Amino acid sequence: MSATVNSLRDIILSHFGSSAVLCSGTYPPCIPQILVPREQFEDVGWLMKDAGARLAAEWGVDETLLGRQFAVLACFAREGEYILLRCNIPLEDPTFPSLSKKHTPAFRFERQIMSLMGLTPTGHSHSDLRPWIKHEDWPADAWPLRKSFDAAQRMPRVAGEYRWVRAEGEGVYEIPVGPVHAGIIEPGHFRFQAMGEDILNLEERLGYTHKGIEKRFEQLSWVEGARLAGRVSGDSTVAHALTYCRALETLSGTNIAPRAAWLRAIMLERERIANHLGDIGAIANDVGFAFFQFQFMRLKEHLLRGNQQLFGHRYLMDRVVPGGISADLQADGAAAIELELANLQTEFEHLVTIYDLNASLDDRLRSTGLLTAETARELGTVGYVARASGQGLDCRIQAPFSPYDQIQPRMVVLNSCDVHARAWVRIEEIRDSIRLLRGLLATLPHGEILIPLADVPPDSSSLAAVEGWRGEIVYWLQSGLQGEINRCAIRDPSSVNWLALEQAVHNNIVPDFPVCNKSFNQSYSGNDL
Amino acid sequence: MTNSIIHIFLALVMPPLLLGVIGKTKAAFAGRVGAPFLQPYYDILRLLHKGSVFSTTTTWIFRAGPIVTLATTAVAALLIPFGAHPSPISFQGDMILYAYLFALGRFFTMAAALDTGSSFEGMGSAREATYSCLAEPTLFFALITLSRLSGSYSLSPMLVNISFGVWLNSGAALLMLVGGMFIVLLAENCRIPFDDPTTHLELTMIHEVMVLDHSGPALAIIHYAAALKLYVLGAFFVHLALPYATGNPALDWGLFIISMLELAVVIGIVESVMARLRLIRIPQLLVAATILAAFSTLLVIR
Repeated sequence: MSATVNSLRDIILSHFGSSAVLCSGTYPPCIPQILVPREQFEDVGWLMKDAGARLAAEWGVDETLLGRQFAVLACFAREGEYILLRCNIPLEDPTFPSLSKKHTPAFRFERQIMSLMGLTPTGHSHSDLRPWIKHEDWPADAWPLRKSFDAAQRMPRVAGEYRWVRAEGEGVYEIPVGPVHAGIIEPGHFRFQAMGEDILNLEERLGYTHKGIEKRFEQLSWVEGARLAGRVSGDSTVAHALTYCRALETLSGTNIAPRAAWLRAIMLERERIANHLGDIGAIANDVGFAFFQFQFMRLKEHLLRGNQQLFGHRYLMDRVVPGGISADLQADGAAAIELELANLQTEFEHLVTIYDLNASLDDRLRSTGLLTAETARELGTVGYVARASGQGLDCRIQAPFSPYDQIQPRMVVLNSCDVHARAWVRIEEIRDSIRLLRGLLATLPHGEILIPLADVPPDSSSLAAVEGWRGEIVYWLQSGLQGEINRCAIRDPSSVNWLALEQAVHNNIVPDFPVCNKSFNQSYSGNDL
Repeated sequence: MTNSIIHIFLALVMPPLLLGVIGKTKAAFAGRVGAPFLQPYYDILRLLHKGSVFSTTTTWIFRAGPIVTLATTAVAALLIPFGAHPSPISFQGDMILYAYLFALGRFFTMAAALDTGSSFEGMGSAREATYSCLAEPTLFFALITLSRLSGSYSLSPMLVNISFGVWLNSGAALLMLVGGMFIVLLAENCRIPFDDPTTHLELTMIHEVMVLDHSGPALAIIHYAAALKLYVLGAFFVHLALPYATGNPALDWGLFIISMLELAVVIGIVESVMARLRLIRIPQLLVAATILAAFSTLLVIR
């Protein structure tokens, strides 16, 4: 390791010289956007890989209303450093070089770009151009994210067939699961090829909750957009609304009041604790340990009722708004949270002791659903999925915004890579979030909570990344010529982590799939958009 | 005659109550109120009022599955003595019939599952076939031990024979039998740690996944037959573990009912304190049960 590490920006600019151009009108200044010729797009991808960066997101944009044509953007990240790579694409030849040879997550990003924006990746590593998110009952040439596509029209239904990966041989059988499941969960299809109890292959097919959210953003005002962002994935409403608002405030140059920043962090940590509690119970329930499910559900419910009392909504929906927050903490609120946390901590630690001592639980969760550190890195996983497989990734620490730059969250990284690790990362994060909440309450500033949003400059863009409870959420906003929303690209952690689930169940047995899946607990809605 | 009537009455009416007690025990452990004790009865009544849907790909085997299962279990219920009272039907060698009635019922459940052509149900049948093969030897070792202790090949004398006196003489053998038969009781009735009758996760199921396509009255029959099977195997186990007898018929019936409810509470506790086994570990536990039963046979034969 050399003592001085060059920034990703310097690496690109020094390597490509005058053919790489720094774009203007992109915010924040620490996240540069670099335009490269289309034919060099893939080369930069290789360069980024060699520099140790992961592909965080890749999306297409239709800039015809801005007087340009199409563009594909790729967001690379290395620890807390983000950079945007851009190549322009002419209307008459809507293709772009695929990044998937070096960056595995590009595999699905690019299928999605092709399905929804109609830009075709070339040189795709598996020649896999099957539709993704958009199903085959829509015409292949209906590209909803293009500006020329009228969202109000009814689409004709067409016939089509999805080509599944197949496995054949003596004793090999196929189990199709879903899209509608027995539990009260979102829809998604899983297709297993199994031999006896051993899983040979799992193929996911998502898109059943595709709602056209990205298209819908383009018809909304900036303020309305925050409400929509809060509904991308209901269990991460604070994290999504916060990421959107941070991108918007960066774009417009709005500096929110310190009290609002603090209360946003309090909400984000409360959301993290509530969801982690629910997940630990659900993981135990999937191995037949219902006792935990009920106990953890009870703790989560207390927290949700606390949310209702403190901020007026159980899941804190629409509490984070552009310019600040919409509900202030009352004078007695801090004391109420302190009391709530004390109770939560006592009961939680009691349950953790039971978890720790229960041999049958231990036997089920350890060494189940291994996602090796190498695979986790290769697939660009984020959040607790990555941290349970030895990846030190947490935007709260690596790319902090106020107040996270002052309260030092603890990075919880485990190396056992199994279901147990994914459960235990959550346990440690609950402990840490309780500590953070106490610290935030102790230093909570006074003052106003909402300031007016400054005007959004025309034809500009901004990127924001926030560590939600599930992992890093990325929003990229682009304004049009009148300062309206031209494009809102969303990358939920699920978009990358779903890929990792397919890998984690290899060499597992069929009946262990549900608990593997629950330990990932990725969002269908956030992935399908 | 009175005893036979009480026997049949209990076999008809009481089995779902055991499921209610198990559910209530689990609820108490989880800190919940839980469903009423009579919930399993309500469930069965509700299903009986519904219509049935039959897939066009199925044949008569699919429809026969639940009926044969119920019929075999009901006959087995007539062979097993409840408490200190001999069973309504009893003859030399009925223990073999008892063991294979369950096998016949299981065969039809599996055949009905395969008849649907669903990969889920085929998966469940494969699991059921594997684990029932492994559970059977334990039952037979137990029957050999008991017939050796009682000098009879009929279930009634074999089981009624067990008393605290027999426990004093052959305590070690009976203790191992109790261990082995409790494991088989849980495995045969699809309880945790082998199977989870309350789960909604098809991929993890053994018994429930085989009956996914049954609906309405057919499903009610399956639920009732499953409860009856728990009751019949439970009655067998109670003879071994809690051989109370006073000589007073009325008191003995009361003791039997209380013993059965105690058993349901114990099952509820087991289900509350442990997770399910990983499916590939189930054979290990079943083989352990067989070894326990085999050793008990060794002890009484020497």
